[in-house]
Amino acid sequence: MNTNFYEKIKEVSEVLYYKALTVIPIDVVEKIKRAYNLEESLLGKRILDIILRNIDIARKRNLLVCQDTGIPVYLVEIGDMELSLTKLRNSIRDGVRNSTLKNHLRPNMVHPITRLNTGDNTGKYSPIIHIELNEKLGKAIKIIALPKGSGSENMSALTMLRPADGVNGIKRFVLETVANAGGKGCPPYIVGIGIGGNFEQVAYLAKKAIFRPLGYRNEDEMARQLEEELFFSINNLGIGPMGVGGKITALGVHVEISETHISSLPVAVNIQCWRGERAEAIVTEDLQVKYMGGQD
Amino acid sequence: MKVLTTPLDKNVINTLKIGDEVYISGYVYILRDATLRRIFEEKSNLPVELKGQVVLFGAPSFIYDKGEYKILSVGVTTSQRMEKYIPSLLSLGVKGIIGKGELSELVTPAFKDKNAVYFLFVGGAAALATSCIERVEKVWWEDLYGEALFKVKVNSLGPAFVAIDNMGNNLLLDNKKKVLDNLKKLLQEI
Repeated sequence: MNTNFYEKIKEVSEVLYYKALTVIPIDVVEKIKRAYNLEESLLGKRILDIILRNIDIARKRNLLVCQDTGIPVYLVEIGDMELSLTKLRNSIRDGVRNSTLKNHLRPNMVHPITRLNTGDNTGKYSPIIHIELNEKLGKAIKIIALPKGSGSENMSALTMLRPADGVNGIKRFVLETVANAGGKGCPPYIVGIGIGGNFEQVAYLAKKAIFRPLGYRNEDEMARQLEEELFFSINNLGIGPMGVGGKITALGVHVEISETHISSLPVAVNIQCWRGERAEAIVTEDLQVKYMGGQD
Repeated sequence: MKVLTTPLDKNVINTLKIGDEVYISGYVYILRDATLRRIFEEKSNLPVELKGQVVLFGAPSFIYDKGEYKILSVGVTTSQRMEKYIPSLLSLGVKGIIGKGELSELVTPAFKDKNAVYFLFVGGAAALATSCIERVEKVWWEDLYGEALFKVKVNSLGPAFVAIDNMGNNLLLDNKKKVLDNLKKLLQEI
């Protein structure tokens, strides 16, 4: 690919970061509206109303929905084309830096021990970029930005269960993790669950699950059943919007499953707040860009 | 709907009960993790008197332009991370804390003892919070970036909800207890 392609990637990555923070995806807004109609707790309903008003103010006045500009995470799906991963990485990183500086986004990335801030949301390992292969895209790539807020990320958890713990062990861990998150991670939540793989893959599967737009079920029968059952149980926890109590605790529950080792049963739960920040675009080899998922 | 003005008056605090919806006008101080570490761990002199005042747990993004600070976005963060410092903060005379998420039974009595209130603001509702800020009055400890200490003038900041009142009632903790009961039942059904 020529230089123009990587320049385009930089530009798109920059736009997507800001868009994810200011415009909530249509699928998320629709689910919050539905939650508002279903919620019976008066305080819970009031809070959902405030959330919807906030989303509206942000869009109309071009303000950030939430002050947390997140930890920049990108999922890149590469179609049937050749490209330089080094240049791709550098372009996305430059996009994050440009977006942070131009939009005066809060720099969040610090050294974990010294707490020194890198100042522009980039660093040796930031942004975090995941690569997936998707031949269906043809001569194009899809970039999804998910600048994940820390409030909900901090409520996430991973465990290495024993195979004997089985599906019931998985359900227990998920319910305990969400109950522990309570109102701290800004519910109603999107709950991403990874099952299988190994230590690092299960965490990625849980993250990948929250990249999936609301309203789409896993095609795998067992995963789909778990999604439905856990969605029901989680909403029976009674956490409610922002933890004030109510029947709406989750907007969606997504499960991703992978093969695992004969002696392992890893489970990861990635909690996503109601903001459901996500912005995506497809960039074709001939530099056409199509943005998707927003309210406009 | 109640509009409260800062500094909070004792008699006004006495009227607040958990679940009440309030709006706050006047000055609010914004601080969080690193600011509190500086005050209570590094024992730096607090550059401002906080008696009677309301603090908001958050870290704004801001710009400095033509001699003025302007907050581009601010919202509340998870209060539980700040629990360690809450009793000390209330001992300084702080009468209201705005944040999100429950505070535990460890710090609830301090609100009763110090006649103070914890307000829940909707987490993530930064566009709403930001649009209630009239101006930035002063900023201290800028080296902490967003975690600097900000004094801001707010106009009807809200809605916020009384989550701990001065009788020691705790809205979110009460619900958390219900959630744990529900969890127990759900786990038994598995």
